Amino acid sequence: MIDLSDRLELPSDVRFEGDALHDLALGEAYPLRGSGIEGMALLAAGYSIGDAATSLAAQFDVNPQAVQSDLAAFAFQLSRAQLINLRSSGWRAGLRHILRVSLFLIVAHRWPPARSRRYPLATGGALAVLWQIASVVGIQMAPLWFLLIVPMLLPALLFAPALASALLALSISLVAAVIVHEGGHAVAAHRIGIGCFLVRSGWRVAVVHQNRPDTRWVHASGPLACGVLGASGLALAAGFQSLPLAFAAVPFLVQLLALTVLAQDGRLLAAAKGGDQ
Amino acid sequence: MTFLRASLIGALTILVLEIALAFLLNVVGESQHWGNAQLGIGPLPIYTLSRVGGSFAVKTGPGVIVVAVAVGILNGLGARWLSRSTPLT
Repeated sequence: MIDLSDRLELPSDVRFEGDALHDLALGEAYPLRGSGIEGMALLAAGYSIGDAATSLAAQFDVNPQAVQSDLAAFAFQLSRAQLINLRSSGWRAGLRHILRVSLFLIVAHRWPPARSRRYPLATGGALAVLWQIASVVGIQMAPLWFLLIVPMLLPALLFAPALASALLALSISLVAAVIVHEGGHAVAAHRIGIGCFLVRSGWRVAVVHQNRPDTRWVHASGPLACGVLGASGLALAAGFQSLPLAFAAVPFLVQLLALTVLAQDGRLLAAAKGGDQ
Repeated sequence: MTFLRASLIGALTILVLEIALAFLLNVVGESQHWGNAQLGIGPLPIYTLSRVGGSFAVKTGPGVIVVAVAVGILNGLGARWLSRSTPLT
């Protein structure tokens, strides 16, 4: 959903240069034509969609509402292509957002499609990449995790208070497993020299990378990293007979299921040609 | 090739998960003082839980292999079906 007060943010790995948008992470260029270049220049300069449309309508002497509609559709397409981030500003935009979500829930009985947001991943070491992913998954998504975990944790604690420490370990490792999974993809992508970035849309978070014939290990690395950590944790738990450690290993081990066709990683892995073929 | 690769990946994944589940059952059974029990599909045992003296043990049965192979084949069939109906890459 696009609001005319929305402003556009270019992620640091996307550049607007000349007459094209350059995706530095994926090594792609998207040429713009005609009024698209003018519109993009205004949006990149910090104009809201509404203000940019008004300016363009005055410049080309056309119907402002038609330009607003075109520019909103243009921004929506760029956002869907994960080339820009859209940022709402002001309390009116917040109020409109709440109203839209409420109407969507009442009419469609489900959450509206969430906006996607792109986060660049620096080509630093594995720890730097993991920290960047952790800041998104662990910190920025913290309210969502809280909403997911607390309703599950409270009834479980009422029925099995003795398992409090184990359930707490399970909750923490649920978040950690997602960080390690996406971190595994990102580190493997950097290792073979391909660019990538993180995309978050509501609950969903994924590392997007270039698609090459030799990306088999990139698809497998996320679940495998989790599997190795989970198996190690479980072995330690068996050695020390530690229930919290055993519970903490479970979300990591469950990530191994992503190697099957139930998940996108598994489907891509099954279809990957491999660099040696 | 897609079928074979996906079958192998699926079977190995489930095998690892089944072994991990045995470890998990061992830790939970020990701490929660579980008694003897058998988990399986009909007469085919997957896990045999037993308490001998003070110690708790979990043994895997032939059902582990059967489940892994069955899931592997399902994964292979799923991959082949998906590769025919939709482009996977």
